[in-house]
Parts: sequence; C-alpha cells; structure tokens
Amino acid sequence: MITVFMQQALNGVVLGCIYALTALGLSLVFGILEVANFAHGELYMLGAFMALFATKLVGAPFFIALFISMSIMAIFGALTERAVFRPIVGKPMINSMLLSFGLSTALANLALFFFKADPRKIDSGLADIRFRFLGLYVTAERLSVLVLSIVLVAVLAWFIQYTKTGKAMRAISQDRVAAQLAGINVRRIYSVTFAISGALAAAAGTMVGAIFFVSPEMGFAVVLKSFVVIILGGFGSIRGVILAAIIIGLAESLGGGYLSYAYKDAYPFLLLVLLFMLRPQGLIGGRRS
Amino acid sequence: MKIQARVFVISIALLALLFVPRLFSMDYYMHMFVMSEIYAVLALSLALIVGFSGQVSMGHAAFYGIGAYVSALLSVNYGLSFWVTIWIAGFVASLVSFMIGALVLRLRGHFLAITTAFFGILVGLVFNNWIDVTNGPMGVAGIPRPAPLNFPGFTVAIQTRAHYYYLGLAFAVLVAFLVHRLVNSRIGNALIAIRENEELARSIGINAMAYKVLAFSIGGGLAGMAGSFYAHYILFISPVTFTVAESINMLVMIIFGGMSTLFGPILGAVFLTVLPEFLRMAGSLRLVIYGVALVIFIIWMPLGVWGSLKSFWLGKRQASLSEVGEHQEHS
Amino acid sequence: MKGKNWIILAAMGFLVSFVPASFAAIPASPIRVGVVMPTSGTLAYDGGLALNGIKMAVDEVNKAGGIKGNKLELFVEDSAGVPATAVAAIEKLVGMSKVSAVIGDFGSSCTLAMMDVAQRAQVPLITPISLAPKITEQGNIWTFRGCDNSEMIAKGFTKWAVKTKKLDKWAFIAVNTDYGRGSVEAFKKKVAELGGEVVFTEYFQQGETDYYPIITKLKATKANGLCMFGETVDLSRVVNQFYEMGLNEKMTLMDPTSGTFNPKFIELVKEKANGIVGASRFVATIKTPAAKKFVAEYRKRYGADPEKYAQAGYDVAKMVAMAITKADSTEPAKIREALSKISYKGPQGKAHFNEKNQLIIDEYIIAIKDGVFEIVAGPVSAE
Repeated sequence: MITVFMQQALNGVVLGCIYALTALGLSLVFGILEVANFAHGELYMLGAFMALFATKLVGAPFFIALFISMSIMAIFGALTERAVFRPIVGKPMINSMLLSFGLSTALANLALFFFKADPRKIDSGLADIRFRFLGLYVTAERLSVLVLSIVLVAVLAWFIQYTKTGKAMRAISQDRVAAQLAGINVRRIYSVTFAISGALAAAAGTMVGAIFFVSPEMGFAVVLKSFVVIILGGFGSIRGVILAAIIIGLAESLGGGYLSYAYKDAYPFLLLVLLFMLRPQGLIGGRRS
Repeated sequence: MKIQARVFVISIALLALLFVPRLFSMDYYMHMFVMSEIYAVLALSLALIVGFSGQVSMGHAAFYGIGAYVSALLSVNYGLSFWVTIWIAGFVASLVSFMIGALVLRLRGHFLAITTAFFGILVGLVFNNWIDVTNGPMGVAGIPRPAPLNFPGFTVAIQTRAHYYYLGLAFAVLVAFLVHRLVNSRIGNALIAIRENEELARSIGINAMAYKVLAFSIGGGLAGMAGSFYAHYILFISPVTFTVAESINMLVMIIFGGMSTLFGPILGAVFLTVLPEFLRMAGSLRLVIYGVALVIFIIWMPLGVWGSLKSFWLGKRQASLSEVGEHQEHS
Repeated sequence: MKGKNWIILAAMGFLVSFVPASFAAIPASPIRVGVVMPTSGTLAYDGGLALNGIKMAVDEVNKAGGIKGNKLELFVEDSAGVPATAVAAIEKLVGMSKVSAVIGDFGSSCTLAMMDVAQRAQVPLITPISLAPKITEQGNIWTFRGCDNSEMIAKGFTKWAVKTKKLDKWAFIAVNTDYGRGSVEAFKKKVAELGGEVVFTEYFQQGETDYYPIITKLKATKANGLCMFGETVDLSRVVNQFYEMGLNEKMTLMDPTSGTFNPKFIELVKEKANGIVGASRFVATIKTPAAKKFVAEYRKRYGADPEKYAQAGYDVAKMVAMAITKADSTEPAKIREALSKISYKGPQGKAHFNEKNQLIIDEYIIAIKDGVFEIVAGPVSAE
C-alpha cells in the first residue's frame, strides 16, 4: 500500500520536474516581456527533434545531444523574439496569445510536413537500467531527469540572482520604464530572455523525447499545462513555479492512480479553480518575485 | 439618412443571399455555406463576450458542445422535436455559462483565458468519459432531422442542404439582429463601458459582475443553440468536434473579422470556413498558411478586416475603441 | 456604406469562379475512385499507411491494363480526423469529382458522419479501418466495413489464450474509443464464458503518454495477463512503462487486435516486444504466395514492411476494382451490388461481405519472437 503510494508520488515528482523546466521558460517570458507565448510548446517540440537528430544523424551521446539542442533552441528563441514578438510587446495580452497561437500552428504543421507524423523516441541509452529500492522502481532515465532539472534550475537561479543580466531581467520584470531610465538595454534583455526560454524548453522536450516520445504535436498539450503552472505558481517566481509544477505532477500521478485516470488532465484545472477561489494572487506572494 | 441607407444595403444583401442556392446548387458548396452560418452564430455569440464585454473566453466550444449533446440526446432518447430541443439546448447552455461565469468572471485577462480554456478541457473530458450519458467517443448517432413544419396550405420540410441553408440563414439573421439590439441598448453601453475601463464603470454605479455574467450567459446560450443546429444537421456528434482547438478557431474568426463590430464576426466566420476548403489543395501545408496568416494579421491588423475598414473609412474614434483590454491589462 | 456591398459582391464573384462549366456525363475512362483519409492531424501517420496500400493497389491495377482498358484515377481528400471536414470531403468527391466509389475514413467518427452522404448520393462507401459497430448496424446498404471487428477476433483469440496459454486472470488497458471500449466488452464476455476472471480495467485517452498511474495500480493486482487495445504509439508507451515498472516478470502481454504487429512498434520498443501474443488479420510473415508477393512489392515501393492498415487499404482498393470489373460499369449502384456479392482473395486470405456489409475474413494467432511475428496458429475462422 505504502509502496504503491510512494511509487505514484515518485512518478509525480519526476513529472513535476519536467513541467517545471517547461514552465520556467514560459514564466520568464511572461514576466519580463508580458507576452503569453503559446508557441512555447513548439520550442519544446523542436528541441526534442534537434536532440533526436543529434543522436540519430550525428551519433551524439545523449547529454551532448541535449546541449546541442539547448544551444540551437536558444538561438531560435532569440530569433523568434526579434521577428515575431517584438512588434507586439506592450499590446494587449490577447494579441500575443493569438499571435503565438498562429505561430504554434504554423510551426507544428511545418514540423509535421517535414518530419512526418512518425512517432519516435530518443534513445538515451539509459532506459534499460532499472533501479530498485524499497520496492520502488525508477529507471536511470527518470533519475537523470530529476538530477538534470535540479542542476538547470540551480544554474538559472544563480544566473538571475547574481549576474548583471539576471539583475537587469529582474529589474525589467518589476518596472520596465524605470529599468529603461536606469539605462538597461531592454531589447537585448528581451532576446536573452527568449533565448533562455528556448533552452529550457529544449531541455524539457529532450527529456520527454527520451522518456515518452517525439512527435510534431507534442507541444500543444504541454503549453496549456505550463500556463496553469505559472498561474498557480505566481508569475516570475522561480520557487513558486517549481512548487506549482511538482504539485501538478503529484496531482496527476496520485489523482490518476487513486481517483480517476480518465479525468487526469482535469486535475490541474480543478486545483486552479480552487486556488482562485481562495487566493487570487497565485501561490507564492504577488505577481513579481 | 445613414440608417436608411444601412437598412437598404442590408436588405439588398439578404435578398442576394436568398438566391445563393440557385447559383451554387452543388451540395459541396451548400455544406460550406451552412457551416458558415453555424459559425456566424458562434462568432457573434463569442464577440458579445470577447469583443463587446472585453472578457477573453477560450472555452466557448464547451457551450457549443453542451447545446449539441442536450439537443441530440433529448431527440434520440426521448423523441423530442428539434423545434423544442433547440430552445432547451440554448437554455441549458446559458444556465451552465451563467454558473461558470459567476465563478470565473472575477478574473481578468490571461487568468480568465486559461481558466476558460481548462473549463473547455474539462467539459471535453466529460463528453469523452461519461459513457452512460454521452456514449463517450462513440458519439451520438442517428440524430433526426428537424420535423417538417405544417402551415395552413403548405409544409416546410428540412431535408436537403438547401433547406438547411435557408433555416440557417434565418437563424443567423435573427441572432445578428438580437446582438445588434443588445449592443445598442443600455446593456450594450454598460458592457462597452466595462470593457474600456472596468474600475471606472464600477465607480459610476455599474454592477460590472452582473453585466459580464449576463453577456457570458447570453453568449453561451446562443452557442448552445448553434450546437443544436449542428447536431440536427450533421446527424452525428462526438467529442472530437468540441475541443479547445475549436474554441480558438472561433476566437481567430472574430479577431480576423473584427471582434467589436457586428459584421466582423460574420465575415470572419464565412471567410475562415470557406477558406480552408479552398486551401485543400495545399494539403498539410494548409494549416501552416493559416498559422502564418494569423501571425501577420495580429501584427498588422489587430482590429480585424472589418474593424480596420470601418476605422479607415469612418475615421471615427468609434473604431479605435475596439481593441480589447487595452486599459484593463494594466489594472 | 458601399463598402459592405463591395465585399459581398467580391466574395460571391470569387466563389462563382469555381462553379464548373458543365456537369457532363461521366466519361468511361478514366474511372474515378475517391479516398477520404486523415493526411493531417493526429491520425496522419496511420492514415498514411492505409493510403500507401490503396495507392499501391491502384497502381497495380493500372499497370495490368486497368479495368477493361480504362485506368483508375484516385482522388484523395483530407478529413484531418474531423467529422465536418470528412463530410465536406465526401461532398466534394461525389459532387465535384464525380467518383464512383469512396474509400474511407480511418476514424469511426468521420465514417459515421459520411454515411448519410453516401446514402443520399447513392455512392458506395467502404471503410478499411473504422471499427464502430454502428457502421454496420444502421441498415445503411451503401456503407461497407472492409475489415474485421472486435467480436470476430474475440471468438478466436480468447479460447486460445485461456485454454492453451492458461491465462485466466485478465487485466485490460484500452484506448477510450469505440474500438477500445467495444473490444473490451466483447472480450470480457468471452473470458467469462470460458471460466476466466477479469481483475482490472482501465481506459486511456488516445495520445496519452504517462501510464505510470495505472501500471502502478495494476501491479497490485493478481492478473497474469494484460490485454491491450490501442494503436502502435500508445501501446509502445504502455509496453515500455510496463517493463520499466518490472511487470514483465508477472504478466503476459496480449494484443489481440494487433496494434503492435508492425515494424514501427518493434522499432519503438525493441526486445521488449518479445513474448507479446495476439491475433491479426495480417502480418508480413504470412507465407502464402499472395502475401509474399504483396510484402515484397510493398518493401520495394515504400522501404518498409506492410502492416494491417496498409493491407486493409490495399485489399479494399482491390475489391473496389474487382467490383467495378464484375459490374462492368462505373455506375455506383451497380458497383455497390457487385461489392456486396464479392468473393475476394488477397494477401491475408479469403474475404467476402455478409448481409450487413461486414467483411468476413480469417485471423492468425501471432507471437512475437526475436522481433519477428511468428504465426503460432491459424488461419482461424472468425465467423
């Protein structure tokens, strides 16, 4: 009984890590550019494909492929920002939502056209190693997701807290006009933010591509959940996002195991509604960290 | 003078529309037009909520679906006539949207959007999993056509696509008229005031929440009626039709056409129903073109086609007040 | 105010330009056959496999001289898996392209939506894939199901599994569609009849990726066999996660409707596929001359082994061609008549339609060994 519970909980935490990585990128973009990027799921999806090609075509080992994917998607993210999002910064949120939705449709279907609908999986070489302790099963693959997530989040937190760029990012998210007056090159920070967002999404996508699958449609489902995570976690708060992501992962896992598996995807929503009834400003404090 | 001219033009347009089945007798075209009519109603109902009240709803397909299922199940299980069930469907859908609206309309902007999106997902899950009632993914088949209407002297049957075209045209015109009257009434003025600046509206005594919920309920109810029409037209419904993607589809229609005008949503509905059919030749690239077009649109024509045309010709401030949430985002 | 007028007139003019000049009588050559399949959307991959089979069949017929010298011409429309789009597709095919028969769709929702059009337009509609029972239960004589259904498979397979393989405690994991639910119902009945016990049933949404919650739950039961219903990709994840949680030590995996008997599945799960038992109307290892020829041709053309969707598409297209030949006409009514009486022999064996336009074929019992689909028993009659 306890074993089953612990297993479900462990699974939930791993899921939560993936959601956290995806949502963090989205949260940064949201907090700093005030843009709701629906196409974030496509950054995630393309990241998975980049890693897939890195392993298949170039024969790169998994972690190198991960690095390659993150780098490519960082550049792609910055390009997207310049070409598509910059014109609408400051406009109503619905504009960025719909624009990014159009971008998402275009990218997902381009991927479908070029890569075809074949479902694929990234071979991490770690999938067949199973660890067993106290009756719990976890594969080396999932364990590395856990470790990698922690590492990436730590690096991100350090970056935001201690580097000049990171501080500039925080400044803009608090008050864009004041930041500009203080001489911060806002445009450059926008690009950097999107680049980071792309890299994190790529990391999450690659991990999902290894554990679950890679396909051109994988982005849509994940982007809605990411939005729920950042709404629950409070925008711009790293701790909030991580906590919210883990809670959602647990809700899915435990809810799916103990309540109804069929309604699994609705649990994040129900949590959201509950939260809004009780505490309209998010999990951790206010809108900005 | 202006109003007379307007009425004249609309009359000519309606007259022309009556002749459409003569020109385009092929069922393929008729089907496109009937779907356009259904989407016109959906677009108008969504525009009431998003364009005129300024509330971003991404779960509109849920009400469309609720209406469709209520109408279909009542007909198939209890033999009720379409002419009765369409009203019941509208009522149930508006009841549900009233309840949801009361719950979530205190939220703003993106919060509201995501919450409504998830409501849409929840409803979709219910359609898919409440097998005993909705038959889940197997859907509801064998939905009967509307029964013939008997008038003294003649009978009106609803059999061919042309018949549905006329019925749908009547439906769309009535809904357009209703929305027009609503928007130009005191209720409409209150909604626009709320859209432009909710705090200010509140401060002059407008019960913002009540009006928002009212608009939401009416919009939801109309969507439900459209759902009923759809069910008794395609004669088969299943959860795949009522997804978040469909809700977003409707949003795109009103953005394209111009969400705070009356003709804009209709234009958007017709164009975006007919266009994908003409883009059939492009195969899987069709959706790419669609997505790219949307991107270009939002960047360069956020008022939508009709909204932009209106603002260009009239040059009035009227049109420029159409941007949603410009003030409410920074509250 | 002129603006409104202009827009309406312009739109109408635009549309008018697409009205064909005349609706001339159907020419005898070439013979037009319509296809409605999802070539975009989530079902695009599987729809593509069926389409492969259809195209190969048509090319074969044409290379052999066509039908009485007339070539077959395919008109393919995308349904994207959306019922209203499928309806538009079939309307276009019968109204504009004037086809004599329509092959499609993949998903049952789309097929069901199109059936009414087929009846009104009086054009035969054959689905090579859709499994919803209603397709053949509504008395629509213009619609045909060109593949087996769950009840047929249940009969043949459960007997073998319970008696020969001694699997008496069944767990079911099935996709939440008419196919998954219908199959579970049919199989549960048979298992009970044979004295077996059902200890676990769970459904998943198509496209689901995370099965850990239910696999963890499954572990706590006493099941000795897990019966899966789903498509290749979903089942590949079920199987992978099944292994990750160590369940392979406890249970035998069963796939009676052969969602896994194709090369793509083997590619996705590799050696974890070994030991899966099931039934299929077709696998690439069938040794009859017709099967071998089909497999060789398909390999040459597409660079991969065919599986059941490709075979179904191929057989249905061939049956349509055969019906047109037998009817000696391109009149849809005559083709429908010929189709209902057809006696066909294809790569997977003999086939004919019963009085409900349901195809009657044989099944094979398959086990996967070393990545190869080994035929353990069969063909068994599924009638």
